[in-house]
Amino acid sequence: MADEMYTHIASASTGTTGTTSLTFTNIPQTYQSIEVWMNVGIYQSGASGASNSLGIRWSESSGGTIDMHDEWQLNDWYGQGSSYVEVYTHNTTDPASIGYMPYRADSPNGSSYPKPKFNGILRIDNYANVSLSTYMVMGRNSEYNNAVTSSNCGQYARLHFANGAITNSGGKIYDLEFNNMTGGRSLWAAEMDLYGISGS
Amino acid sequence: MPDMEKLGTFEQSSTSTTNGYVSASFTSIPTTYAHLLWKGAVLNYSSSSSGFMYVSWNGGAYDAANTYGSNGLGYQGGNPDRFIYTNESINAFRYVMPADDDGANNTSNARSVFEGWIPFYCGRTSIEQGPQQVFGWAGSRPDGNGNYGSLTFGGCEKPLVQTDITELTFTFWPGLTAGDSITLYGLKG
Repeated sequence: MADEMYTHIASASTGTTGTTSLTFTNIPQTYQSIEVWMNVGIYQSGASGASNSLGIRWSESSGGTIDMHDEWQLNDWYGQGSSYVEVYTHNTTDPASIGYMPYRADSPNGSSYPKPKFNGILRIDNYANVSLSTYMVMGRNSEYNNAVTSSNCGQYARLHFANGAITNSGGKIYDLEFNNMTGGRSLWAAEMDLYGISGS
Repeated sequence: MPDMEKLGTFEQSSTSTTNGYVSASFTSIPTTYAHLLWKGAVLNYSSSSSGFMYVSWNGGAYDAANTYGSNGLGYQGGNPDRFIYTNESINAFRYVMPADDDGANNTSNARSVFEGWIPFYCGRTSIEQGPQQVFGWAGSRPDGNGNYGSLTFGGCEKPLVQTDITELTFTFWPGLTAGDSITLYGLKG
């Protein structure tokens, strides 16, 4: 790990108007691993207090069909309040969840404090030979029902840590798409950087 | 050239001889990077006590103002899956492994390793991208019950003030051992 070097491949952003997905296309196949560093918000007008999942899909050739091609196994640990939960999900439907996110009815721009909804690093090892791939995602949902203020970190703030594997493919990841997993909701203020990692 | 640049390294020159705090500061951090990333390996001075690490930035004392929140999701031997959630004015990330004291079951003095980052370091576009940090942390003190093996994932944030971060300070209790190190990197976006 100490000698790993990061090369910035691309950035993607929704701005603050929201959109349904962000996509990195034609990812070079020359690195050992890839990481996507992300800050993402979910927004839906007229509703609040529920969670949503951030999902990913990918293509196995440049310009190929973007889909959830293989089994996606997610082991998600999170804390809520004073308790904890471990959830294992075996995803076979499109898209694959990489973790839960909060959403709120009020605009992320509407208050005087920052609202980092979710941040995380998705790492996929051996992305050019998916049958050997593992991944991890670290995420943090800082606001679920309660806002972050000087005296309240958000009673229902959730902290997630997830890892898992993509199996039974032997394919490659060329185009990688992130999207919300529930209709009518948008990725809001989402900003992502894609890095290629070489060395070990 | 890779888009990852080493900004500095702290190395503890000698093992602490008192049961106190040891700080490692990175100052004059450039504001031109999209992300800050740090990696470290530390072992606390004590032969028996699990230690803590505090984080502060821009010269702020870790116990000065109640504007930080911190939490962690940890796994520790016989008391697994502990969720530590606080609204304290300090950011404590357990555990910094103690130096070897229990003979046959711990002969390695294995350091705790950790990695953290501040995403979108300058806030990029608007207030919703406030400074925050995410930590991965692993330590090992493999005594008979594995009681001090620990895998922790945590985060902290300073939600009310968004300024460019030009100084990062890591404060350890109770002290460090010679050879402990932390390296800070900047990543271009």
